[in-house]
Amino acid sequence: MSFFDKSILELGRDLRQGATSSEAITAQTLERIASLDGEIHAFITVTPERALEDARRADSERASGIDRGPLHGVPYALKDIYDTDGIRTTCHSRLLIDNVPAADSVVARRFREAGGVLLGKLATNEFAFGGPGFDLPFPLALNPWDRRRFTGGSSSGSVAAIAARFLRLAPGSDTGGSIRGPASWTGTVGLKPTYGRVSRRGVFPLAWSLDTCGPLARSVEDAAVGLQIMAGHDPEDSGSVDVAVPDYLAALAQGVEGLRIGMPRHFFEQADAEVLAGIERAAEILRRAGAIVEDVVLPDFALFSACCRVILMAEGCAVHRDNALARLADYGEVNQGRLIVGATLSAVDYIDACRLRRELVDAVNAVFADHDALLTATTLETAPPLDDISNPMGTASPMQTTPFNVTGHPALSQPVGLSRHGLPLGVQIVGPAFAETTVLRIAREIERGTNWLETPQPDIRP
Amino acid sequence: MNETDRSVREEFRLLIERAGLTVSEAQRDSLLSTYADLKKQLALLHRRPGAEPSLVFHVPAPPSTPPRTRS
Repeated sequence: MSFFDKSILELGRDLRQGATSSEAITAQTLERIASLDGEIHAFITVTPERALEDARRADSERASGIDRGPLHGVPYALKDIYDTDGIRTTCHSRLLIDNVPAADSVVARRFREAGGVLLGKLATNEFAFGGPGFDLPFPLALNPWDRRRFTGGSSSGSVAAIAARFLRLAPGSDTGGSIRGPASWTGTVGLKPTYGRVSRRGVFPLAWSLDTCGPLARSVEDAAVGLQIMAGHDPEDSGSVDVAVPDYLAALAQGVEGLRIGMPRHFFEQADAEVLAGIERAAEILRRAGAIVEDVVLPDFALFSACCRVILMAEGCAVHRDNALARLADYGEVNQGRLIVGATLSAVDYIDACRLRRELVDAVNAVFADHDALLTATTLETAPPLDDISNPMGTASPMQTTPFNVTGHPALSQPVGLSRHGLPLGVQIVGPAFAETTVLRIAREIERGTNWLETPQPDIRP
Repeated sequence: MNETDRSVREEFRLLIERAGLTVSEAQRDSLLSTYADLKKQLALLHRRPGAEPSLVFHVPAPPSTPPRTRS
């Protein structure tokens, strides 16, 4: 097996046993990126010197008996909205083209402390807001499964890098589905934790009351490793919640027997037949493993969608107000449009959305009173062609992710197989607040039942 | 363009102007359908008394009053 296909835990074992070194892994990975990323554009900035420095430090520490955990000596990369000390952080925008932060974001610091090897900074939609954009200072990240199709956004470079087998783990961010949507369209695992679970300090905001940082990964186990590093209270992030962080890896062994899982079919009845079949396959796997899967009814999907759009656009426009007034033309065309339309919203619109949000949170919590999780679609279709993208915020959007940004519940997109055209299909698993362990256990069962990890990954050639 | 379309177009122009943004007519026109789509979603948010602890929001509108789609 190529080390590019080994899990983080397997790589860690190899490193501990001396079968390889972090420097060797890192050098080969940098070579792979140099040879293939010209086809994918996952990276905005590759940091070979920093990567090799991190790798040598990890090797040296391991030799002297220091073990920083599963990520020690293993490569990763960061979406380019995470501040990195001394490394350019552009948000994929002309407006921050020369921005070099003087400090790490909390997540970047935690990855550094976990002994990870930083390969560089990954492409995104401009400011994680509007995309796909073709008029930005860096190229659009392409979908390794079919480069004519969208990766989804905004964590586009993160998923492209994982699907291209450059790395196993990349922290992303999710405000309306920016982790789960791209994960679904690229066959990766994307976990949006509960709002408040992961610190956002040092991450460029899109919409304060929706923004959530979480891991994108090749497998559920890799995602659990990522969340373990990222999770934890930060008193300097006003949205952070002080709750105990469980052992996510240990939870994966628990299985799903006895779990009660609801399916809001009315959310996804318009999905493509193959997406529907994927959800049914996942439900059947869970039933066979001893879970109870049954239909539930949530409020109309259109209410969640409208609520999310108004809050996201209003808060997003507040973030960008000064620059929109002073230098609107410096934004990409898509974001100019978002900012112009968003500027028409009133305080009353925002307040109406916030009042509705309370109702929607209560309605979903009521379902969780007698269910452990929900199983639903992540998107209604497979990755669309780049010349046929609908507004992810609009009423025609195929995204099914916004409800759980509105409610803040943890939600994960899990691959379930490939369509007849060879494109990844995904399902979404949602849990009660701070029940990421339940979400991961269900995802792990589906991953095992679909043999997803044995599915050949896309073959990219220069 | 019918009367409703003209009115939405004018409303959009005024709201952009109120926000202080400098936008060309062509760009504004290209975003009109997005604005109309947003208006549809805004209509879903209004007049939802469910979460209101006071009874004042339960007063029904007169039957002749059309539902508001904008504040």
